[in-house]
Amino acid sequence: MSKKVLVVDDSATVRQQVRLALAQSGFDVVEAVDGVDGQEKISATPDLKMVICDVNMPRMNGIDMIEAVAATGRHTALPIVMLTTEGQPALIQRAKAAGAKGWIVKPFKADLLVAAVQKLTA
Amino acid sequence: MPTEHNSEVMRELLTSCALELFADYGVVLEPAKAPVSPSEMVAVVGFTSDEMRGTLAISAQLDFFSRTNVISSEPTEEQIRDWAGELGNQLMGRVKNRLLAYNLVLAMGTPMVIIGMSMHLGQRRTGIVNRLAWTSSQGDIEAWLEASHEAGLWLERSAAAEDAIQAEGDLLFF
Repeated sequence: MSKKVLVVDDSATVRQQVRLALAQSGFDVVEAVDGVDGQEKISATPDLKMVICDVNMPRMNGIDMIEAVAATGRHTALPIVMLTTEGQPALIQRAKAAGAKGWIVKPFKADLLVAAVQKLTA
Repeated sequence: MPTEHNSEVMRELLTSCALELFADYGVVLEPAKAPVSPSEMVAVVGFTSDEMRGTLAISAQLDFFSRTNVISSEPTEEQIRDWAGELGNQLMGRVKNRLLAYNLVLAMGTPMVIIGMSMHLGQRRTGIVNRLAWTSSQGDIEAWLEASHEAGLWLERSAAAEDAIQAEGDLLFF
């Protein structure tokens, strides 16, 4: 069965880019449009293997989302990689402190993203 | 004068960031030598910090955002709109990350996209005003960056701060 990866991004273009890259490597992609939607999808998808998350989004940003997910204590084994235009060291440190496993500055290289997902879901 | 200096720094950053961003998507930009085509779509992103606040916009005809679309060779209007917003977001993000080397930390908003006929943007008369235009095989595009800043701000690059910046596309594992 395909491994499920959640991509949280307010841009449909980015979600589709990630979907295309991961689907070619056999992953099943679930989408969320912001941090609130992302939190709901994480709770509603128990077989999720990984999350790829933007930072700047309406309603709830990606850093607040992963901090909220960490605070529940229920998804400690779920790897999260941030995929964002942001490169601010303070934000990177916040993501790391909240349990994120990696950080990619957009635009992403598809082969690098796929390799990261394969490594973190192995 | 700080404003002239800061404006020149922002112009150089906007130019290099635009050329690099579009090159990443296979679009080679050349400086426009004549007035570019009237815009039909504008993506606008605001930014702010304690020391500087302003707006970045990119504008072009629908065809430009259609031809450069990374999802489909025949994108829907919604896909074109989303792509324009994402390009504005990525250009602002790139400028923002380059400014970290100048010890200037900006917060940016989410993009808004406006569609219309023959749009013309009003231009500020004070502060940082940069309006750049390019041509490419996919069509013309303009980038606008307007900002105001605190009187004491003098943008100066710091090698130490620059070393801490993560390059676009790179993956940092924790």
